[in-house]
Amino acid sequence: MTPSLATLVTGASSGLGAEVARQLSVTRRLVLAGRDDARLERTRLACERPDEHVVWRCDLGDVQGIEGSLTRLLTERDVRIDGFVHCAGMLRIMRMRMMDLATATATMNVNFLSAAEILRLLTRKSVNAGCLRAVVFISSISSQYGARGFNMYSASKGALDALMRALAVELAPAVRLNSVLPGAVRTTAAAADDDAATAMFSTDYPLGPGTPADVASAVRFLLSDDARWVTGQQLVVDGGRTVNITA
Amino acid sequence: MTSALYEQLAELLEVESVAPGDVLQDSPLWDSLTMLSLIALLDSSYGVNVVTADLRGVRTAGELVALVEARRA
Repeated sequence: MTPSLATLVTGASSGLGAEVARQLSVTRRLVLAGRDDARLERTRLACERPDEHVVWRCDLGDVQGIEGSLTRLLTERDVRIDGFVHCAGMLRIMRMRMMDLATATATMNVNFLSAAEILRLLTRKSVNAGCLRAVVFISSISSQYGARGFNMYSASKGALDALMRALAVELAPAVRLNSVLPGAVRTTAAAADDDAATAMFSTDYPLGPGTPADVASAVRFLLSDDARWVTGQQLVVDGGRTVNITA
Repeated sequence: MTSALYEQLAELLEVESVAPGDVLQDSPLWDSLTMLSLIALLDSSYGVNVVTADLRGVRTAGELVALVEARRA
């Protein structure tokens, strides 16, 4: 019996990941990965055809545990992964001199190494039967530009984009990889009340604030056959922020 | 936790020591990045979730410590 194909979305319990999952669920079966059972369930129920999707509870900070957990899931649910969107990420804004090794390591593990490990597994015939076709990393404009306190976060997103480019070449023609680089996106209701953030959006962002749906649309395009001839690219979705040099 | 937190505050504000009565905003290093670094520190060291609005309501180091202790409970 041929296993069914699904798209893996990590960080599916978060603001961006949940919206990516919701949009992709219109045409795809999903594997929803995250740490929080309750929030994963909320994401699953918000998707089209909720009963079709598989929940994978995992802590991507434990990179060594990914292999056992993911291979077990794929075998038990008889699923193979044809698309992979890495939305998982952690951001701790802090001065470099206060950055402890535990936070730095966790940032690199969740944001970058977990994605590398997942790709290692998804490109193994014994695990995924050569089914992988398209990958999108949620990176950040801080991958390309500096910002106070973003040190290790920027480094992790830069690493993600460099890996994306290298693998776009290595895994072609079977697999396409691209990154979406969002600007600051308000993902919680609490953030919408933040006066400082609102002021920042109106001065720095030519198109004003962006939403998770704006980012998810770009992911959907890059994952789809409409992007058949697009690989190794960074698509900036930031309301024009990074091209704005108005003083 | 209390003495460790005072030591971490001293490190954050680059001073020898911090006393309970010290006013946080009086530190020349008290800016938005310092506040964000403090928020990250409180999360990773004590599992306590504090936002910038909370910090604006706190005046002295002692009041900050009390806030953290209350959140931890």
